[in-house]
Amino acid sequence: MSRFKRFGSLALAATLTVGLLSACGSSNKDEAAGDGNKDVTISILQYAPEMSDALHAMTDAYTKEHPNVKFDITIHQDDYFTLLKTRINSGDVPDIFMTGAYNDISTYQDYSYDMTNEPFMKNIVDTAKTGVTLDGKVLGFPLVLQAHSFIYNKDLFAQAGITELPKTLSELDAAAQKLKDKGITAFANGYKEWWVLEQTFTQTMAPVGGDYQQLFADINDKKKKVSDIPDAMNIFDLLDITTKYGNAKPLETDFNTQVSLFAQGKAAMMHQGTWAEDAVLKLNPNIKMGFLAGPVGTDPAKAGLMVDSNITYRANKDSKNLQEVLKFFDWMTTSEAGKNFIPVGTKQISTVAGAPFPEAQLANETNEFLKNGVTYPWVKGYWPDGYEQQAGQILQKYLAGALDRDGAKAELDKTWNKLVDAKQ
Amino acid sequence: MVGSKSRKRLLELLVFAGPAVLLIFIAAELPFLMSIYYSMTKWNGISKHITFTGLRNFRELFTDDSTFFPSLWFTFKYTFFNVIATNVAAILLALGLSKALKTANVLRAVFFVPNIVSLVVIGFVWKFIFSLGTTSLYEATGWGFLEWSWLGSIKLAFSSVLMVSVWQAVGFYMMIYITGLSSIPDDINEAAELDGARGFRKFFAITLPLLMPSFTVAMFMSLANSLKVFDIIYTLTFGGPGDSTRSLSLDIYTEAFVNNRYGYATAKSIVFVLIVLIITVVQVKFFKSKEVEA
Repeated sequence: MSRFKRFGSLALAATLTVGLLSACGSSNKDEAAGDGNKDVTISILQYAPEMSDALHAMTDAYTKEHPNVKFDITIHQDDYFTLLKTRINSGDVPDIFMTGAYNDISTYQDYSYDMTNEPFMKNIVDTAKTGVTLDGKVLGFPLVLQAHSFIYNKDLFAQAGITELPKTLSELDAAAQKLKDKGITAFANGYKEWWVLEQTFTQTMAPVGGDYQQLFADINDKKKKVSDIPDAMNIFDLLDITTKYGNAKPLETDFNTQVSLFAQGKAAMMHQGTWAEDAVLKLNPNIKMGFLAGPVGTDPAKAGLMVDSNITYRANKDSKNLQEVLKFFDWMTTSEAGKNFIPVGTKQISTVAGAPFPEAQLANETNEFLKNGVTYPWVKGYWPDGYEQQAGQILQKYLAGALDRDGAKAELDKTWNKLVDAKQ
Repeated sequence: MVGSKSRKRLLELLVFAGPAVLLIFIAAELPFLMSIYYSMTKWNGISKHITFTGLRNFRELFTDDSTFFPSLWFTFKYTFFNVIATNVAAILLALGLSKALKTANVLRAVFFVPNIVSLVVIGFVWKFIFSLGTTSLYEATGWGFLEWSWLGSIKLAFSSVLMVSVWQAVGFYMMIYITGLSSIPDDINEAAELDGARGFRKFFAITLPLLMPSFTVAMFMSLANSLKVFDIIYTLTFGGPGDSTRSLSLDIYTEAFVNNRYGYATAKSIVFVLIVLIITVVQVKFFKSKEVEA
């Protein structure tokens, strides 16, 4: 907001800068030194800091095989998309950048290389391609298959004598009561994070099943409302159960605190995903954990796991290093080191066919669900831009007592319509 | 023909003021002018397609926006309390620390230190204190107020944010007032005391009127800083719980970078600039008229 500098002329310029100092950012552009024959530096901009070590190991391996290719890696968590947009708008588009799937695919389409006919696409499993395909064109390289639901501590469940995993809301309530009777907090709720709430919300929304595309198109056309999806409105019952048996100050508990409560055995369940496994194990290497099929209502058959590929690499289509980037992607799907990056390096499930399977509890559970259980896609891919965060914040208001159920429902509908109208 | 003297003056002006004017133009004025254009477009901030929509954004802003006015109201409320609390606390500290205390210099430094720490860091530190710090203290002491959800309940979040921002800013304004106090001539103070003015009377009749220039500066700065509050809320609550602590600048940020409505967010920021402009100009005019000569 440097506009306010104008007032600096009122003999205050010097002192005012004190206040402006705090807002600085920096990005360094590592250009390849000297454009000799083939020396290139591929710039990568991404979030997911848990991949940092594995990513560096992989790119080092690539540089070893291809000494002319170096990498300039920037990993940024908070505020990632602000940074990405700034880089794009200043003409400094990274060669490879990370985005989500679905909506993000269309948002960044002007900058994405169409990979449909690239040979490496054949090496990627088909289930991962839905989210990166726009009008028949594959615009992203899906990286990992992730899953989220309630993660539970197997030992604590055994201690409380829960033998049958809860699959309906009343069973969930009963299980939480059993834990409480043993003096165990049932839920670690990280409701400071809007995305935790939004993910819990999608889980109650997905079991509606049927043709999602049609359903959300109807909502966009105002033929239906979000609050008309009956399962989705069970979110309020579900949230009430989690706070009734949950940790103190749920709205102040962020991801790190939530994970540490769970990892230390101070709570038996948390709504999180495969990405949390590493953090949990760092705090407690001996914990035994698994995924609950998320209870969403009265029908046990509807409880399931949310599995999707929502982290993708995009190739900047105007990059002068495009050919090298594509070679690198190809290598990621064919070489040993490339295939190991996700499953071995980050302990998550790779989207590359024939890649090894990670030795991780939650990944194994996910695999079980994929074989024998109920799984759902992350339906938020059909939501309008911005709705994820707004929905999370509306649910925060409900939890804080600023909105009752009807108020929250009305707000969920209204916000949806507003964001859809804004797009047109 | 222009005389050589005035040509020399013109050259001096160009050499000395030119670079600064040019830089300010590039860094501040040009983006501002571009913003005026973007405020009349529909653009997601990324796409290469920008649609010109005229005044549609402004019409939506004033007729159909559910976040702008609540955020504006929050910003006003925050500004009102923040300006009063910061300035009162700063004057009191300045009065105390301009006495000939042995520890005055150390204390001045102590109160000033929060001001040189980045607001982002302060936000994270206080977030820790509010959530985990108070919980541990509660377990140790059992004092009920430590159990409150300082950042998680809608009622308390406002005061928590306010408290941290006063704590952070007070040292800086204290320095402004100390400078002002030290520039009040001793003979006036002595004369007032000989006339029998002491305590409150002396403060309101002598000190405060002579402190007016500092007051103008401090009021202007705290007002402008409060109106555009961003970092501390961003790190402390991110506008939450819900949107109960969403300031206008955070609302603009959300619109641009979360909802991907860059054009619309720019329209909001233009309106915001006008609001800040009007308020600060009125405020400076008002306080300037109150200043007296020693």
